[in-house]
Amino acid sequence: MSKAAKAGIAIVILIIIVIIIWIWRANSAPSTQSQSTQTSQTTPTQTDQQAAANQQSSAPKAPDLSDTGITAANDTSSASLQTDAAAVDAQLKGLSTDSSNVDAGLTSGN
Amino acid sequence: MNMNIKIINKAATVAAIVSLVALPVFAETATSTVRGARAGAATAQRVTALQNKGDKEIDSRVASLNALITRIQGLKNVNDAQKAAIVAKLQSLVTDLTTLKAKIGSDTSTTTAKADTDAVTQDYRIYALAIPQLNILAASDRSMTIVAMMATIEGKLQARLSQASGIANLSTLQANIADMNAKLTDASTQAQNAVTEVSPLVPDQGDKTVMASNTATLKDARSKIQAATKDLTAARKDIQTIIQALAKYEKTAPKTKAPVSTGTTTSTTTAQ
Repeated sequence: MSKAAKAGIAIVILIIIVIIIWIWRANSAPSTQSQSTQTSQTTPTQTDQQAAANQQSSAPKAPDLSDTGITAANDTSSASLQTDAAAVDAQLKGLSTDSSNVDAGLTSGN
Repeated sequence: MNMNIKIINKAATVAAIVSLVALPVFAETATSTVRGARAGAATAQRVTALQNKGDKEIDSRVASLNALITRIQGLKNVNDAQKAAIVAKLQSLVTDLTTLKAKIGSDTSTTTAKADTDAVTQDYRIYALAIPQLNILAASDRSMTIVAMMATIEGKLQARLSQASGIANLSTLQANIADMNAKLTDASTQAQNAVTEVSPLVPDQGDKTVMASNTATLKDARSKIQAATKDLTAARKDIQTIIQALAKYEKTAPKTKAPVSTGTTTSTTTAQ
């Protein structure tokens, strides 16, 4: 095979590769644009962020035991357990009051 | 002479008859005036009675709402935004009732006074819906707090039992722990379901079907709170049983007592 033939084949292969790349890029361009569009759609606006913040603030809150009288979780001493039991008793008493209020509300009419 | 006497007699008779007819007429006029005054007094009395009734109904509701506002502000498992929304709603009710109270106070007719007094119960449904609904929320919130507290204690008891080598009836105590966990799980579920059940309820606006439905839902939610309370009371007994067993163990086997952590005694934020 002559040098010219080899060069011709190489040029053809190169052209084919260029065409393939061009076609691939042409096909992938709308996809990229779509992704861009999608990104712009999902980018939160100020209002969305506010809504998200509101939604986040409406998320269930973890129980706050700060002023219940219960001691630290790593304090396993007997005294701590006694204190914790007394704190629970106080809350159970409060629950009893809450339940009485529910009863009273349901029996007192309008 | 006789003629004169007859005339006088006739005149006297006529005068007597006239007087008999005329006197009631004068009496009737006087009676009407008195009756009018009495009717006015009776109306005023009825208006006053209605005003007193309205004041009493409104005052009791406002007191209940204010107590509820304080309770809502103390909820632990509801975020600040939700609390603020509930409190704003309650304060709006207080404002409305206060305005209505002023209106009732200025009513002068029984019809208006009665309509305004009836509005206290019919338009607001404070006792029929708002107060039980929010008290269920408060009871549920406290139940969840107790569940979290007991879960913290359960962790401590587990730690202590694992260190109490040779403690009597360990399997029974472990069963107490298991029972406690089951009770806490159920209490949590019941409390959450109670809130889910009552949250969508709205005032019936005089619709008896809606009113009956609201009442049934509130009663069912109340039964869930009662079930949660029962669970928590049972779990508390489990705690007590284990604490007593540990105390007994400490007395009988002081040398084998494992060292316990004495962390800070500040409040924990361990959550369920």
